[in-house]
Amino acid sequence: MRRDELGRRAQRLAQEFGLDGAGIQFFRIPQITMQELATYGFLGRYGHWSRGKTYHRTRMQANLGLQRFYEVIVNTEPPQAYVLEGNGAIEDVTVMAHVAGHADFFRQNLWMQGLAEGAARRLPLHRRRLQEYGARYGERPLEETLDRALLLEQYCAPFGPEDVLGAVARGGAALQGWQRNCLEIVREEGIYFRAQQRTKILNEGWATFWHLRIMRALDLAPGEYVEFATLHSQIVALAPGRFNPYALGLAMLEEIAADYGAGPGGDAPREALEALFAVRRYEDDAAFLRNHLTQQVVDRLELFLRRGEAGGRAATVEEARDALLLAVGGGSRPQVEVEQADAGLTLRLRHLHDGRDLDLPEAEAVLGEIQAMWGAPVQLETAAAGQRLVLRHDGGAVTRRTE
Amino acid sequence: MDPWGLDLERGAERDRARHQELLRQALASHLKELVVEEALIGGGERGLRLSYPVLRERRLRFAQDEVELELMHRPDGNAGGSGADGAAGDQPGEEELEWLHDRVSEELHRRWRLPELEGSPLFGSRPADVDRLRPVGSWPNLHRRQSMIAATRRARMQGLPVRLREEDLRFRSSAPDEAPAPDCLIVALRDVSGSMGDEKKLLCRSFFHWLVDFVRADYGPLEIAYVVHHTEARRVEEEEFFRRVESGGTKVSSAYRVALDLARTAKSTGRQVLVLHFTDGDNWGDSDNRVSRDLVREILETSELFAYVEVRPHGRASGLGTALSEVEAPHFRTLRVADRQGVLDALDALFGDAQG
Repeated sequence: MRRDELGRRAQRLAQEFGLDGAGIQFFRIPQITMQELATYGFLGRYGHWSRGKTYHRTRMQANLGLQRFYEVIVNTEPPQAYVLEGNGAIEDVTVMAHVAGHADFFRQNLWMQGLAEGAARRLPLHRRRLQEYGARYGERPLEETLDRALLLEQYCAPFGPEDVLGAVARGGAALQGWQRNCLEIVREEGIYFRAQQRTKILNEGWATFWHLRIMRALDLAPGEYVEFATLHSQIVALAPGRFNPYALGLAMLEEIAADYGAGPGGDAPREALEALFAVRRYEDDAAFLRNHLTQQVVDRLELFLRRGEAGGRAATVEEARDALLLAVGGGSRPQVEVEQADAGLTLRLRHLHDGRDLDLPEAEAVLGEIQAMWGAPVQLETAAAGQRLVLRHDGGAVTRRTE
Repeated sequence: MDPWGLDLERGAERDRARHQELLRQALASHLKELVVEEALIGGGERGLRLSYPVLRERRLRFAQDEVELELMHRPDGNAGGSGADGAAGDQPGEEELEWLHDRVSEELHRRWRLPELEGSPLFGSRPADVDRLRPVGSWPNLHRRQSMIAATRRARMQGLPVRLREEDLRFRSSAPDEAPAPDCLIVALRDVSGSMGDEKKLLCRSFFHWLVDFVRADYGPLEIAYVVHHTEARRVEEEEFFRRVESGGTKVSSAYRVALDLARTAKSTGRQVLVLHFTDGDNWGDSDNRVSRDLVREILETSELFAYVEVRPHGRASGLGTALSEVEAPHFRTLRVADRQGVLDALDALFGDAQG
């Protein structure tokens, strides 16, 4: 079979290029399961209506032909790659070349360390645990607990000072034991998936950079090559009015390679490879953008500003970097740190104001939900219109105090 | 083959069904606000900002106006573009708004029926547009709303959750058949005089938006005549009707004369006529109020329904409203909209009960 032969050679090439992509488990699944996987990030993850919302829309879009998932890779050890049933041979081989890059990234990038081990066992375990809670304490109390826990899903971090979700899980006086465990589960999975969110541009760029080289090294027949080229151009297509992380990541990596004399998609000299593998090892999207976004890349991708006073014209590299940094990883969410989280006392949170004011009514509602878990008063320090502002919820009312 | 298969499918389906249920509850409890939501009915200044986070999980988020920079690839001529992958803020994109619009639309269609007069339906209930839609076609010609409506109809018949299937897809035909002759005329009269401030304009646009959405989606074939008026009245295209910003005095009789002409012409060809007037009742003078009242009586002779909707935040009936209260006919309706909450009430009063 041509498919098997090309697949074997693609895997061998990945290894020769130095990618840590061996032993990937491949599963072939139908479109409907693919849509579920793309929504949940893992087959057999715990459920919540908010995922049902995403799932519904994913299905709608796919049914309307607006979206198609060729593959989804799951960060487990060994990595699990899910491939769409009915893919053609060249699509399959491209996917194999692509996921070799992802597998390498999962295993070697520092932000990913320690996450893959045990994930295949722990995530289904979490699901079962929550199902048991639902059966024992009721579906609605479980849902309410998850609603509140997921409110803080973005506020969890494996390193550094205590994160908000961790603080509430530990010191929330109004939580029963099983509810505390719900928060811990949401937090653990939040950390697991956030690592992938904060490295999306680099990870997709990395996988695309390598599938391009592997496929070019395969000596495909002309017809096969045209098929691959068509697929590749869809992956990196610059749809006007949107933004393509695959294209950006690829363009930035190509730019690094070009600094060492490599042509786009072509062989990179040893120094270039060392530089590229170092980026893959140490950087997340924020570092990647700070260190490697250039004006040439911004121009080539025709990055435009949509909003603000500068809206509707080409971005400078500084503008593009600033805009992206506010959007990648956790940047699209307000950053909040814990100042004081002694159980039974006021929970003090501080919003790290980056020039963007909070939606205050929404923030007050969120404080109310946190307060319902924390038991004691909760306050959030932020700023609005340049003035320091403290929102405080004591369980009854919310107050705003400017200073 | 895959050890997860069916069980997981049910898991996602359960989450989906639960979301639909929560959505239905949220929509029902926020319907009054959503009906006057500028982001949904379009034409507003606030663009895509929803004032009711009815569908969104609660999160700490930024105030929309603070999004200074957002990146996209070079726009082509008419690219609106929705939220950019990764680089977008978390405001709803156009697709999401369209989706929400359709949910509100479905909910309203579920509550409403066209009024029945003397035991017979006001006008035929042949599905609109469907004659010119095809079950096969190219993706750019996909008519999403009609596809969703078809799915909703089918699912309702089968007692299944609404989910789009291949068989529900409707495509615009590239060579449209000749449209069948409409057997109903709706005359929409909009007061665009200076006294109709921004808030009243919003209420008016909301009222007509959902009304047109309802009659056009579920019934037909029909023709809608859009008329705007201040001291003079004239017929305009749909887009202008909803966008119109004008000022000046008001002479309601001018609008009623146009309506009467339209009604008579339609009647002479055997069509049914429905006239709706949305105004603040702030008219030019008592003599015109009397003229208007007499015109209403004439219009009623050649129409199946005349609805006079007065937006009046507080206080007594306007001079025009008082004059029209003298008109007595079973098919003459006067409705009052006091505030945003009142728009849905007025529509409910016309088309159905609030029970659904």
